[in-house]
Amino acid sequence: MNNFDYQQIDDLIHSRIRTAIMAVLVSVEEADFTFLKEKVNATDGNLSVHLRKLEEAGYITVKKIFFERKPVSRYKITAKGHKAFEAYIENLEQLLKNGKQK
Amino acid sequence: MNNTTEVKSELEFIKSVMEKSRPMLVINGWHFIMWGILVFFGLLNTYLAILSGAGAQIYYAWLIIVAFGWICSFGITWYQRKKGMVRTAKAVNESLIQRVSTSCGIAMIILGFVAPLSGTFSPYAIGPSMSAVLGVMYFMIGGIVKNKMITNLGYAWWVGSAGLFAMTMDKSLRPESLLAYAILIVILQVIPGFILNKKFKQELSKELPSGNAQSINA
Repeated sequence: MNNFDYQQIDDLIHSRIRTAIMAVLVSVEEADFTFLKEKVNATDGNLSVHLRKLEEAGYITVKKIFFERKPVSRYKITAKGHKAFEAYIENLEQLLKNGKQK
Repeated sequence: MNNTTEVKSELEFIKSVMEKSRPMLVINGWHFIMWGILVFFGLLNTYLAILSGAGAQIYYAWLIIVAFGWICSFGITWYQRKKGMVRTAKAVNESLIQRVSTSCGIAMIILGFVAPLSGTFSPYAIGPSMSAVLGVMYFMIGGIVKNKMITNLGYAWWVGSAGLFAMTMDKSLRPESLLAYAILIVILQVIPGFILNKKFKQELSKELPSGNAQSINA
């Protein structure tokens, strides 16, 4: 695996919780905060921090709506996020392939 | 991330999260049933009204029926949300299904209300034309949700449309073509709606513990 450039691994995605968030969001059209919390199994505060990081990177967007007078945050992956996640998976697969060849 | 095991475990983790998170794309059938029953009674009413020589009242009756249908549609959606039957995530392609249903609904409104007013479109052509549009809707939704029964209903609606047009060629059979259309509505919409609803409930009971079932309003 020595010939692999580790800088190609996207640090923004390469964190257990952010990887999970991205994996959830590529599997749906959009998801509420509560859905993400249940799937990612994180605390409110922790999840919010990581969601903000992904939002700042332009990987996800958030839409605030009111449902029965309660605020609901709805998250959606962007085209940039899709591309970055695909590249992340491809890099991992490449890493695995290189490891097997050795 | 410096060994194969770690990379493998990362990829497996991603795969498992994606599999657990993917909401099931199923049709709950409620809207098929509700619209089917409304249109069935609307057609019976139209048939009887034609026999009794009514004119413009038929048009207004349909306006009321369709308006009532839309109110019921919103009511069903509101009730499902209220009862927590609409989940907190949208399945991939859900918007596409809603887009197909809405576009076919708009096309049917134009064919049912605007076209006859133009004077270039016989009111007896409404049923067969609607059937052709319903064929498009079922065929497309069947393809999106990969449901063979819904796809086959699309073919059946197209055959039905051709049959209804054939019926209207004989002027004496035109009022009866409304009854034939009503029968098609029951066979190709109401009954399949109940079948889809039964399947939806089965899937919901399987998927609810993990919260993956996703109700599609169609």
